Amino acid sequence: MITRRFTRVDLTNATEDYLLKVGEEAYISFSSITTLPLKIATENDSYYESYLIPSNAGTLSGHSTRVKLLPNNTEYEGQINFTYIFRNRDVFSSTYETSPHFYIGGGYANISMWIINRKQYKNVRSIADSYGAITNYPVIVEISNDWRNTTNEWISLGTIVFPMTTSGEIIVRRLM
Amino acid sequence: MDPIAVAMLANLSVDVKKLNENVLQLNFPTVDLSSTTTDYLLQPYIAAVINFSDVNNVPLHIATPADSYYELHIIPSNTGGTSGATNGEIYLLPNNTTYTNAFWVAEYWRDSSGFSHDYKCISAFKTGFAFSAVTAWITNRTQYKNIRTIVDIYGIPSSWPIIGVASTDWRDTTTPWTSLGTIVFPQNSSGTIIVFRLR
Repeated sequence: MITRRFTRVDLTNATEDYLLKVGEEAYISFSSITTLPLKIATENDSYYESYLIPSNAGTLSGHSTRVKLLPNNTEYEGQINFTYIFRNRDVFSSTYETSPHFYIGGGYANISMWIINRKQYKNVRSIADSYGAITNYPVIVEISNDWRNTTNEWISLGTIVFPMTTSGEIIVRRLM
Repeated sequence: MDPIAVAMLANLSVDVKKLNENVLQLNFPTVDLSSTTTDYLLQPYIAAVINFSDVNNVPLHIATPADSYYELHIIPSNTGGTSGATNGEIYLLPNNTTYTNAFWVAEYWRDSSGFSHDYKCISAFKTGFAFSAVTAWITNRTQYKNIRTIVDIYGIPSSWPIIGVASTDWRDTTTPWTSLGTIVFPQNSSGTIIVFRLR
């Protein structure tokens, strides 16, 4: 029998950025935090798939506001456009907005996402289940963000910012 | 085929560890099909990588058997923007040909103008539009053939980004799908395609 695997690098306690290589996956476990520095260095012409797997108990209480990814661990006012389509308990809706960060989910979010880092084209797409608010549990949402800057270098994958204290794990696989 | 032989044929780019008598664990084995001219039978757990530059079609050159399943990624390298692309669809032509009105696609998308959706008959698998970053899942069973996609669309007005989600069924339950096919773009495009065979 043949199996495929990614070589796992545990970055849970990393204190500086690690350059993930093609075929490697970063694993990060986190507990009761609102910001998660990924500590992953990234380079031009790289591509990742990532899974954010929360461990917070399912609930109808909390916030439904954004789970953010801040590239280079900072915000870029007015440079990122995102669009999403969602269905929660009450509505089916969509939006198209400008943002200083990548919008990857809402509330507590169980997320699969794909990240393209090319200097001339930088995109983050995600499909997520959001829970932790009165209208959410579940919500299905699909999001695409384009960083509308074709010259900036994206050198640190960034920091995830949660709208409320969150626990769980994240896996980041470098495919290219 | 012996798994060691499979690994060698796949031109492994990273290390191979034989765990025991029965299990071979491969670290992201890849085969570069960018310059190949004949179909290569991708084995389960092997990834194919195809780089392409300024072309409007990319023959994948991947042979596919019945009851196989793939994950496909298109990572474009065309510069982001709201112009430069053509208002047209990206298709995957199975067996490198079209089958007139044999496919149905259900899709929805959100651009800067609003939300839209469609359900229509087409002649190949829809995989994107204009310039697209694509994640797709491909099912090849003779009796059920499907491609699902989640894409970002750019290069046209109202885009950069557009989120698009689609599912295409090939409504033919007898024709064998033997060659994964050719990606056809509505304009010249550049980038990288990665295909994982999962089953």
